[in-house]
Amino acid sequence: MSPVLEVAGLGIGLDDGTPLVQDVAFAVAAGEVLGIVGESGSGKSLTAFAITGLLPRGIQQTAGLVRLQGEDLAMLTPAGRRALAGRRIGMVFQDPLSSFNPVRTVGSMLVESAVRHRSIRAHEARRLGIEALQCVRLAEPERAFDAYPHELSGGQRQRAMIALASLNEPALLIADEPTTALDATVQLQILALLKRRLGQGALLLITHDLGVAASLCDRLLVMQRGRVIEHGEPQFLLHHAQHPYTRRLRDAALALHGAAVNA
Amino acid sequence: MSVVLEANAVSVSYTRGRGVHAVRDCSILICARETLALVGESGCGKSSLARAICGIVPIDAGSIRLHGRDLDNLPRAATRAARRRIQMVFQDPDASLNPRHRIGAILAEPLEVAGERNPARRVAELLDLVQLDSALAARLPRELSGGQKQRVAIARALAVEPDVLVADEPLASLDVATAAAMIALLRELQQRLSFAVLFISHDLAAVRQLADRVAVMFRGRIVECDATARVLDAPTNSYTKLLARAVLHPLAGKLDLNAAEALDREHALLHTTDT
Repeated sequence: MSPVLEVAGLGIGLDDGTPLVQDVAFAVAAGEVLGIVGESGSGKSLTAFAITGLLPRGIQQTAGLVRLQGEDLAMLTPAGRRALAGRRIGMVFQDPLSSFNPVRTVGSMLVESAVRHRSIRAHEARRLGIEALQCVRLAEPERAFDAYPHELSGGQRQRAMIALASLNEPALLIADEPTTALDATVQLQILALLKRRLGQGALLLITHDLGVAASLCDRLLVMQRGRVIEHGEPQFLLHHAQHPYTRRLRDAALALHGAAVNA
Repeated sequence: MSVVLEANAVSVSYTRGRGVHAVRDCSILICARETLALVGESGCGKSSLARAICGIVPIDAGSIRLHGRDLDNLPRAATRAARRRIQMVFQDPDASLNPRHRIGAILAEPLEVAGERNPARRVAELLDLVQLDSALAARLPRELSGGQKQRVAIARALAVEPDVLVADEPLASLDVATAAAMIALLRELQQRLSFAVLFISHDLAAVRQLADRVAVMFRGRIVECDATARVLDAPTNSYTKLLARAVLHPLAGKLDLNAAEALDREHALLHTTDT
């Protein structure tokens, strides 16, 4: 079976030619969770932005190939590529408060996305939106539908963001530090939800937290200074890290956890 | 050990709208050189209690005592002086460091307020204290890394040699390796300077590394408070038990979805139970 997402020889650089990401290659299959771990500045978020065609101004893809469901995304027009987000690629970020539009209700964002990408009518979109909020286990989906982002708690906002990201059943879900701002119990709920909502989609999970990565990912890539330095199955990688940087990340994470291991 | 800071039966409410009690009848005490962690989920009241202790939000009931003196029952000037003995460090150094001021000026400001005669020398000492090159004094915050900025925020808080450092999620915006270095730095500084730390965090791994004791808050109340290992490894309160179960250890393997959802249901149940 061909992978949902295939990235080969990806290079990203500043307009002046300074390389930021070099020679990144990976593939994610349907139903699979691939994690990218590394510290800030390692290029993990830029890699995700390059896939969605949403690189910040002044930064561009300089080399390589991104294929979504077999389709070379370089062949799309810039507008076509931007339209991927919301339809074929769903995105979940660390802080929904800064990625949601603060003056729009959760419901109006859901309706807009459903209407734009599915060519359905508004009342039908409303039903879909409320259903989506039910699916992410928001206690009062109709109240959440009419709420503004700031009226929800951090955990509720992240649920709403997952509802929006997965509304149109995207082939690929990208989650960039989705639980970094959340406490442990809510983090667990959100990770379980991401896994449940994934279905036959592929999930690219970007995180600096090895506990989060190991809990969800089938495979991990470790990035440092714009390059993939190591990859593998999480437990194998953590136990048999070859690269000193991976060992340093692991040892720092284990030191933070002290002696306690929860089964 | 001598008690430095004491919060007695403190309540805080936000009366905007419905008079919701953010903090209900909370009591904690911190001794010199001690780190007390305040943990709990977002909205549990831990930041409100920290802000009340720092005098940023008013308390409805109870008292805050520093070295036994009630901070709400002092002459105004004495209150101000006493409040300066309690300094805060926040999660996001970008929001707390003036982007237009150079690091040297940011560190000199509290020194000048305190009447320091030779701020330049003290600025160099403070940078040295947090293991930063004194040449950084000439830089702007945006020229520093996240970890460096947080070190500057700590140096500024320590400029007036406070008795208590209140740190509200100081590691949340940092990478694992940077956070580990910050924890080592805080421990070393505390050994040298003997201040007490109130460490507010949702990260139990960091709490384990830093705190002598942990107070757990749930729905505005302190539900458990004891030595760190006792609370995290053998919790007695039902919320603390859930919290300990929810920690993701890197070597623990894949998340069990059914267990995660069972935990979710228990958590929801706790929230609907009357307290």
